[in-house]
Amino acid sequence: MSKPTDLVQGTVDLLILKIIALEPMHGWAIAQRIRQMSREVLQVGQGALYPALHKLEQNGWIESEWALSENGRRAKYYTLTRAGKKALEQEAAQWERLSAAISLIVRTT
Amino acid sequence: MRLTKIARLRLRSLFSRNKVEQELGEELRYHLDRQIEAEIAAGKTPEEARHAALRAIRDVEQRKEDCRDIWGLVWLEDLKSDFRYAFRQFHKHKSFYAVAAVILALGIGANTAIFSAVDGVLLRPFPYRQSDRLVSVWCMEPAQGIPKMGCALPDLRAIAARNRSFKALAEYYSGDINLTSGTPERVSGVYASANLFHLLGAHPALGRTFSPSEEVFGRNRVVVLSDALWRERFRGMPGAIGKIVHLNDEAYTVIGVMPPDFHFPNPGAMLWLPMSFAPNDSMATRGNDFISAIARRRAGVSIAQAKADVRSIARRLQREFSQNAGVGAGVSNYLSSVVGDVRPVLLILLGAVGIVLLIACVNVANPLLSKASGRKREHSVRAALGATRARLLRQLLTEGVLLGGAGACLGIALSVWLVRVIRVIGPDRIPRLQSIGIDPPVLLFAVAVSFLSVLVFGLAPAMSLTRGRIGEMLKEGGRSSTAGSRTGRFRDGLVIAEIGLSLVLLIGAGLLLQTLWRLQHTSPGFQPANVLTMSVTLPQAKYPWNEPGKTVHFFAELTKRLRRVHGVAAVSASTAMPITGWGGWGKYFTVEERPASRLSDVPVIQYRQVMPQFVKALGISVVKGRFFTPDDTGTRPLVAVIDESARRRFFPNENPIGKRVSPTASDSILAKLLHRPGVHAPRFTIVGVIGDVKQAGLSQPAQPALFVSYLQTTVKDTEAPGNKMFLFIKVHSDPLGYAAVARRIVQSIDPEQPVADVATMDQRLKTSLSMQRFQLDLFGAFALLALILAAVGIYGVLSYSVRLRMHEIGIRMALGASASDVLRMVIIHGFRLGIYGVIAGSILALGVTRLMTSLLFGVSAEDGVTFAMASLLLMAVVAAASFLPSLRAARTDALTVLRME
Repeated sequence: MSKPTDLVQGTVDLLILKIIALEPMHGWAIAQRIRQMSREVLQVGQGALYPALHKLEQNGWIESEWALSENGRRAKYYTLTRAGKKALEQEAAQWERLSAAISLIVRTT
Repeated sequence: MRLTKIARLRLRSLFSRNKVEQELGEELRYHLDRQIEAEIAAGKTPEEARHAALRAIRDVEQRKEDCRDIWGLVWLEDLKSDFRYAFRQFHKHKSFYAVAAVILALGIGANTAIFSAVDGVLLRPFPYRQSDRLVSVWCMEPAQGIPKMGCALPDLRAIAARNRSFKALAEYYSGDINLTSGTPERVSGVYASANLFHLLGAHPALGRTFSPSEEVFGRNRVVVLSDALWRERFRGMPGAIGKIVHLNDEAYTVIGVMPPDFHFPNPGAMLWLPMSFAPNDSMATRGNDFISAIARRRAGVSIAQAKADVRSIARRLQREFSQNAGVGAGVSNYLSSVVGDVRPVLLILLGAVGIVLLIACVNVANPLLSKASGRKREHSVRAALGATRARLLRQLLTEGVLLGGAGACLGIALSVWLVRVIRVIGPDRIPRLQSIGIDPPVLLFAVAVSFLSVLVFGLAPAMSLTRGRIGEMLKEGGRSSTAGSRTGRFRDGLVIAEIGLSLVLLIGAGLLLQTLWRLQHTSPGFQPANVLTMSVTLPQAKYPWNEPGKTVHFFAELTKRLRRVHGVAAVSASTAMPITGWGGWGKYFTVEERPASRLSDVPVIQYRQVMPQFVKALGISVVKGRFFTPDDTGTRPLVAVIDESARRRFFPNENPIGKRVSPTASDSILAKLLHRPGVHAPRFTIVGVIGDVKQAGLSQPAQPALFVSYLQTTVKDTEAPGNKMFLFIKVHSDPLGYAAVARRIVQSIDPEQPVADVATMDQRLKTSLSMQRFQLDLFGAFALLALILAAVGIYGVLSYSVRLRMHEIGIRMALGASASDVLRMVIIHGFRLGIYGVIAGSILALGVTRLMTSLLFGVSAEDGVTFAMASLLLMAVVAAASFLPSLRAARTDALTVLRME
C-alpha cells in the first residue's frame, strides 16, 4: 500500500489538466496549487509530476513554452491544448463515475 | 494538427537529445531552487534547506530517468516487458496456447498450400522470355457450336503474313509417335514450325533446334529430344547428337536436346519434329482445323488490339475462301488459354480455405477474449493507474503476434506436407500442378495471411476490452455474478459468425457431393464393366493413307485374333474413345433429301469409324434397326448408323432407317468448292440407331454422331481409315489381365507396333470424375475442419459462460430451479446461437454458392435440400457441443458455489 498522500498516476493527470485549465503554469506552481486547493491533503512530488507533465505533452494534451517566471528566472510553462480540454472533460466525467463506483464498493463491503 | 505536433515532439526527443536533456535539467533545477527558497521562507535555516535540497538532488537523476521514459524510447522497454508478459502467459496456459497455435496452423497451412497451387498453376509465368507477351491464336465456328478449335495451316500462314500485332507466330500440333529404336514405345511428340524455339526464347542444352529449311518435306527428318527422353534412351550422353532414331518407321537424326525445364506445350511432350507436309497432303489445306498457334505480341500492342487484328483477317479470309465460311479466329493470353479451365476450381478452393482461416481466427479470438475478460479487473485497475489504452492494446497484440508467429511456423511446415498431398491427389487435368511448391511468393503469402489473422483474432478482443469505460469495467468486472453482457454478446456474435461461415462451407461441400453423386449415377451410355481399352497408332510410313487396305487389314486381323482368345466376349475398335474426348472429329452432314445450298448452312456431325461388335463390346443399346456386321465391307453397299441425338436432331418426326446421307457438304456446294462440276459424294444408307454415348465426359451432353463401318473405309471417295484406333476388349472377368495378351497379339502382326493408353473402361470413367473428386475431397476436408472448429468454438463459449454464471446458477438452484431447468437454459443458449448462425449462413451461402455454379452438375446452387441438410447437420453438432457444458451447469451444487463466492 502506498502512502495516503501519494496520488495514483491516472488522477495526477486529471489534476494537472484541471489546474492548468485555469491559466498556464510551470511545474513548481502546479505542485503548489494542487497542495493549496486540496487544503494540504494532496501532495504531488517531482517524481510523479514531471513524468506526468511530459507524458501529457507527448499525448498532445498540453503544450510547453519557456518564459520568465515571477522570480525573474526562466521556467517552462504548460498550457492546455484543445485536445487537452476535451480530454479533461472526459477524464473528469470518468473520475466521477470511478469514485462513485469505488465508494459503492467501499460502503457495501 | 495535434498529430503533427506529437510527431515533432517525438522526433525531437529522438534526434535533439542534448537539447531536450538540457531543458529537462533546467526545469528540474528550477523546481529545486524554488523548493529551497520556499523552505527558507518557511523558517528553516539555509543549512537545513540545503540538506533537504541535497536529498532532493539525489532524486533528480531518478526524476530525469522517469521523464526520459515518457519521451518515447520507452516503447522498447515496454516491448521487452510485453514479450516477457506474453511468454509468462504462454507458460501458464501451455495447453490452451498449444491448441490455439495448432488451430491457426491448420488455417494458415491449408491456405498456404492452396495458394501454392493457385500461384504455381494460375499465376506463375511460363519460363519463356517475356512470357506475358505470348498469346494463343485459335479458330472457331460459332454457328456450329464450336467456340474454340485449331486452325488450318493456310489460315495461320495468312494471319502470320497479314497481322500488324505479332513479332512472330509459330504453329504446332501434337501427335503420337511410335519410337521403334529398341523397345517399341509410343511417345507424345510435337510437330512445330522452325521459329517456335526462337519465339519462346528457348535454347537447346545440347546441339541445335530446327532451321527453316528443315520444314521442307523430305528434309524434315531431324528431331529435338526432351531431357527426359534423352536420359532414357541415350543415358544422358552428349554423343546422342547425330545419332539416328526410328520414329514411325522412318529414320530421324537427333540434332538437339532441350533443357530439363522445357515442357512445351506440356510436360508430356517428349520430342519435337519440324512441321512439314508433303506438297499434296490434304491435311495442310483449308478446312483441316487442327493446328495450334502461339504468337509473341509486339511491344505496345494489347491483347484486345491483337484480337481485333486477327478477327478482321479472319473476316477477310471468309470472303476470300468459300471453305472459310463461318470460321472466325481469336486471341487470348497464352497462360490463361492453358489454365483457364481450372481457374474457377482453384479460386473457389482458395475462397473456401479462406473461410476456414476466418473460422480458425474466430476460434482463437474467442478464448483469448474470454481469457482477457477474466483479467478484466486487472486491466481496469491498471487503466485506473494510468496505463493508456494503447499500452493495453499493445500488450494484447504482442500476445497475438507471438501466437500468430507460432501458428505461421507450424502452418508453413504443415503446408509443405499438404502441397505433397495435393500433387498426389490432383488430377492430371490441372496443368503445372506437379511443379507447385512452397517458394518465396508463397511464403510471402503465408506471412501476410498470418499477419491478417493476428489482426483479426488479436485486435477484436483488444478493442472490445479497451473500448469500455474504466468505471464500467470496474463495475462489470468486480464481483459480478453474471457474464459481462457486452463482451458476452461480442463472443456470442463471434460464434454466430463461425457457425454461419461453417454452414457456407457445408453447403458448398454438399453441393459438390451431390454433383459427384449425380455424375456417378449418370449413364455414360455404355456398360463399362470388364472392358479393356488401349490405343494403337499405325505409322503413315508403313501404312500410307492412300493405301487404306493395309490399315483396315491390320485392325481386321487384330480384332479377329483377339476374339479367339479364351475368355474374350467381344472385340471392337473405334476412332474415338468415349468419355475421354479423345479422337473422333466433326464432319459436314447432308441428308440426301434436303441438301443445304450454302456451306454455312451445312450442319456438322461427330464422325466415327467403328468396327463390328462395337455395341456388343460396350453394351450400347440398339434402338432401331441393326449395327454393323463383319459383312459390311467395301464390296457391300455403304451403310451408316446414327445415335439418338442425331435422330432427334435430323429426323425428329420420321423413321431414319433407309435414309441416304453423306458426311460431306451437298454435291452442289462441293462442285463449287472443288471446281468439279458433277461431283457425287458417296451416299451411306442408315441401317440403325443406337443409344447416345457420352464422348467428352459425364457432364457433357452427347452430340449427334454418325458411325460408319471401318471395313468400308477402303471404298473410293470415302474418308480414309483412321490410323489411330482405340480397341475395346470385352471379357468375362479381370480385364487388365488381358493387356499382355493383347500386346503380344499386336506384335505378332507387326513386331515394331507399340500399344498405348492401356486402361479399363471403369478406370476411364473414374478418371473422368477426378476433377470433381478432387474438388470434393478438398472442399469436404475444409468443411469438416470448419465444422470441428465451430463445434469447439460453441463448446468453448458455452462452458465459459457457464463458468461465469456459476453464481447465478447457484442462486437459481437455491431458489428452486431444477437441474433440467438449468440444462435447458444452457442448451437453449447454444441453440439460439446455432439458429442465428444458420440464418446468417444461409443468407451468405445464397450469395456465395452462386459462384460455384460452373462446378455443379444436376443440382442448383440454391438447392433447398442441400441447404436444409447442411443446416440440420450443423444444428446437430451445435446440440452435441452444447450438451457437455449444460451437463456441467446442471450438476452445479448450489451451496458449494454460493459459499465459494
